[in-house]
Parts: sequence; structure tokens; C-alpha cells
Amino acid sequence: MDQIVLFGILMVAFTSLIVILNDKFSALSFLGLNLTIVALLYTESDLISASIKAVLGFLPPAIIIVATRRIEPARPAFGKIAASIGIAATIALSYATAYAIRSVFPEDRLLQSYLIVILFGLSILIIGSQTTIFKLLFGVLVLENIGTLLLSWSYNSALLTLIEEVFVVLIAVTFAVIALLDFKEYGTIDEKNLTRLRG
Amino acid sequence: MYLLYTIIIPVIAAGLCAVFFLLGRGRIATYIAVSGPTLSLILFSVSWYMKVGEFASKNSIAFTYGLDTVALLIAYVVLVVGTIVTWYSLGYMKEVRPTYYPLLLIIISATMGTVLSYNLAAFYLFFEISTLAATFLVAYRKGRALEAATKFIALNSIGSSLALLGLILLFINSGTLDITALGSLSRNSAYIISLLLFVGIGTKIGVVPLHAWVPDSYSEAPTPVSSFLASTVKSATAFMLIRLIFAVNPTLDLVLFFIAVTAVITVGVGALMAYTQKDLKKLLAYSSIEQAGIIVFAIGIGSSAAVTAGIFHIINNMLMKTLIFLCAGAIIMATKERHIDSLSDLARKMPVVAAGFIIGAFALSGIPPLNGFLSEYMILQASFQKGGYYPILGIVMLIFTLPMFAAYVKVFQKVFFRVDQNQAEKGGEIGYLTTYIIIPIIILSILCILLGVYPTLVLDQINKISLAFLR
Repeated sequence: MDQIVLFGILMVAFTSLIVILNDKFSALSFLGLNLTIVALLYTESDLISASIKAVLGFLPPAIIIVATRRIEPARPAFGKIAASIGIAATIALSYATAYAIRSVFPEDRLLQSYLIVILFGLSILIIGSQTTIFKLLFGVLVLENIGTLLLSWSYNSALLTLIEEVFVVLIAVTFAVIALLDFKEYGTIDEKNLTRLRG
Repeated sequence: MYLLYTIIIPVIAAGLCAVFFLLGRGRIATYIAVSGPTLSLILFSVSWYMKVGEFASKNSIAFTYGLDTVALLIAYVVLVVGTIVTWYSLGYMKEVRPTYYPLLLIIISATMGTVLSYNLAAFYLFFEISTLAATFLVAYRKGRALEAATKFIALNSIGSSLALLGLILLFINSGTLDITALGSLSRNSAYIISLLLFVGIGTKIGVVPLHAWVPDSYSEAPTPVSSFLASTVKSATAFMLIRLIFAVNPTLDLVLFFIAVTAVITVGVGALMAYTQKDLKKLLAYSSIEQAGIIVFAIGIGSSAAVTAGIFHIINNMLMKTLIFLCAGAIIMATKERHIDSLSDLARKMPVVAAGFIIGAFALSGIPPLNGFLSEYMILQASFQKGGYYPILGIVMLIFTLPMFAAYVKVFQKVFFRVDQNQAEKGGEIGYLTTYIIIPIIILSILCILLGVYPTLVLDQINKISLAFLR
């Protein structure tokens, strides 16, 4: 139980940092999140999923770091204080939501369920507060990581884990290519300046 | 095995096509590209007609391999439309880049794979492949298309991730990846999973408020791609939504009602926005949102009759929407113009295209005796049979479709029957349309009429399976 609390705190901390930091440092924070998940999977003896995550998990942050080197970084949407308040409010709201729906959680996975709801809330915060296409990608990748955590609850999940992790890499590649093309065309990947079309 | 070949052949053709493009043999590459889905279609048709391999004894509601006649039927229509769109591309896409045909063929295969998936992992695999490949095709023309692609990948990735969470929860709760063996879940789990699946998969269908990517992507992508995405990919995804939602638990009244209300709002937003458009492709893009709403409304009703009607409308939508998009593409290609106010007198100058467009628009508007009429009528009838608030929702939906019909009438009046003296004096020259453009329009027009006057061609099979879905 102590281990799960420790890993949970680390995961929430790394995910929260993605909200505050710029794209490049967010990628490093995301790498930290992935490594924490690998460590958690190892401690839960889900060796196949942990190995898959260990092998493929470093690729998305690496792809983003390579792409951001060619792109002028966009500034985070909010200042550090506003972002911190947003993070605290999201965690509190997510915790309250998790508490309200705790009856649907499996009894032997109560702490993990709380953690997943909080990570879900933070991923929505990342997506909602994004200014760059990469921040949006991080939100998506955190959602996919929640999928990995959920899969570790089940037996015979290696196939789905592998497929998910491969697609995480492909999604990161697609976002990186689109971001590079956007930057070449518009000179920015800042969402505020990408509004010519307006659906 | 035969079925696997029909999915793999276009992928092999995509690979060969890419290689020949890289070797500078563009012409050979193009012929390989069109031969891929054509060969696959021939194999599919012959295998089904001769009932060999997986195509044998599928005329029952038994889900051997999770396949059923309706899945085969929809996969077949996907392949027919895919083949038509690929041939149309021959006439429409001049000077293609090496990525165009390989990506188009991959989307065709992935869409077939999505429909024929009986396994959650396979479904997710094909679902994601088609999303990622479509991103690069939406971005194909660069410029404004890049922004459209950015919106496309952004919203669809969020949708895919939410759908994945739904699929994983489904897997954890049922302990199997086999869609046909999922069984009923506890009510609470079913609520969460249904909502995740609806929001996730609904994003790809273009359900309001997750539709923001639709108008930009469909109007900026090359027309053959828009037509395939708007008709086939969307419809095939809606079919899988039906399978998954009813596999979770078919008696979730609150979820179904939420889906039905969202669907009616989707119809309203799509139709009203379509009416305000001046850009022909954007108008059609919004009309595809309206059509998505109609299909999703059938899911929301949730009865056997509604599921039958919904699946029938999915098949019809693939044909009607492709037809109208290909006609719009022909108009844009011939006139180099897509602004409705700048187009005129095309019924005289392009009679076949005008006839095709009018058939497509009437079918989409539910005018008898075209195919859209019967499926839309059946959905409305199912809403009345269901009772409760559903008849009211059905009537509201019907009222919401009126602006869409008005939008089509506006196009008929301005684009086809108005004689603009200024343009007539300037000459209003029309470019030559090859048979690659005209023949697909004729084939699709015939199919829209055929399914309208002879619906039992597909309805009997759909009816058997929709009963099985709800068990």
C-alpha cells in the first residue's frame, strides 16, 4: 500500500509538472511519469507490460524533444501561480469525484482507482489548458498511460498493452510531423495563431 | 482466410504503390493502386457468391468468428465505395504525391478491418490506423489543410484515448477481448463504459459538441478522401458503436436517452450550420454531421426496429454521401470554383453530375423513392414505437432536418438552375470530366435508386442480426 501511495504521488507530481512546464521540460516530466509506471508494473510483477513500457515508453518523449529542438517553444498558457491553483483544484475535484463514485471501484484496487481518477482529471486539465499541439499530445498520452495502468489489473493483457504502446509512439510521431509542418507553414505551433479556419 | 486476403490485398498494393512511386514509376504505381481494391472486391464478390471459406453459412445469426452477414455486408459496401473512390481519384487527382494512394488504400483496409473486428484489440488497432492515415491525407494539400489536420488529429486522438479507456474497462470487466462473448456487465460499470465509448467513438463520427474537426477536415482534404471519410469511415465507425454499446448492456435507458438527445442536437447543429454555408464542400461537411446525428438517434432509441433502421441508414449513408461528395468534386474540378454564389447553370452544362447531385441530395433528405427515405422513415417509426419522450425527439429531429433540405434547394436553385448573365457572357467554361469521374457518379446514383425501390436486398439480413444484437 505504501508503495502505491509513493508511486501515486510521483505520478501526480510528474503529470502536474506537464501543466506548468514548457514543451521540452514537459517531455522530460512525461518520461519521469513513464519510468514511474514501469517501476510500478515491476513491483506488481506484471513483467511483460513493464518490459513493453520500458522499451517503448521512452520513445514519445524522445520524439517530442527532437521535434521541439526544431520549433520555437510556445509559452505555457497560464502563469505558474494560476497553473498551480488549477492543479490543486483539479486534484481536489478529482478526489471528491472519486470519493463520490467509490462504490464502483474494485475493493482490492481502491487506491489505484483514486489515482486513476486524479490522473484522468489532470489529463483533462492538460488538454483544456493547452496552447500548443504538444501539450494536447501530453494530455492524450496521459490518458493512454491510464489505459496501461488499468490493463495491469487484468491477466492476459500483454497484447492490448503492446498495441496501445505501439500506437502511443505512432500518435507521437504523427503529432510531431504535423507540428513541424505547422511551424514551417505558420511559423508557430501556438494555438492562438492557428485560427484561420474556425470550424 | 479469404476474408483476410480481401483486407491484405489493398495493403500489399499500398506497399507496391509506394515502392513504384519512389522508383519514379508514377503511372505503374497508380495502376497498382486502383488494382488493389478492385482485386479485393472481385475476390470478396466471388467468395461470397460461391460461399467459400468464411463466407459460407453466414446466413444465420450465429456469430462464428464474431462475423455475421451484416458485418460482411457493410464491409462489402466499404470495399465497393473504396474501389469507386480510388478509380475516381484517377480522374480527379492530377500529379499526386507518393503518399496519396498508399494512405488511401490503408484507410480502405483499416475501415474494412474495423467493421470485421470481433476482437477489442483488433478493433482498436484498425480504428487507430485509419485515424493516423487519415491525418496525413487531410493535411495533403498543405496550407489551410494543415490546420484542418491539426484539428483532426487533436480531437480524434482525444476521442481514441477515451474509446481505448472504454475498451480496456470492458476487457477488465468481462475478461475477454471477444466482442461476441462480452456478456452483460454490472449497471454501474456499463454506464461508465458506455459513456466512454460513446464520447470516444462519437468524436470520430462527428457528434456535437465533438464535431469541430469535421467541417475543416472534409472541406480541406482532397474530395475523394473527404467522400470516403464522410461516408464510409464515419458509417463503419457508427456500426461498431452499435455493436459495442449493445454488447455492454442494451437496457441502459438513461445512457440511450442521453445518446438520443445528443443525436437530435447533432442533427440540428449540422442542418442549421449547413444552411448558412457558401462553400459547397463545407455545406456537405455539415450535412454529414446531420446524417451522423440521424444514425446516432437510431442507436439512442435502442429497440430492435431502430437498430435495423440504423444499420440500413449506415449502408445508405455510405452510398448517398459518397455520391454527393463525388458530384461536388466533379463540379469543383470542372469549374475550379466551390463558392455557391459563383456557380450557375450547371444543370445544362453538366447534366449527369447535376442529376447525380440531385439524386444524392434527395436521398439524404429522405425523399421517396430513394434509399434515404425508407431508412429515415424507419428510424422515425421506431421512435414512435418506443414511446416516452422518443416520439417528441423524433418530431424535433424531423423539424431540424428541414434547414438541410432548404440548403440543398438553395444549391439546386443557385448552382444548377440559375442562369447568371455575367458568367454566360464571360463564357463560363467547363473543364472536361473523364469517365473516371462520370461512371462512379452513375453507379452510385443507380445504387441509391435500387436500394430505395428494392430495400429487401439488404433489410432481411439486417433484421435478423439486429435482434441478435439486443439479446
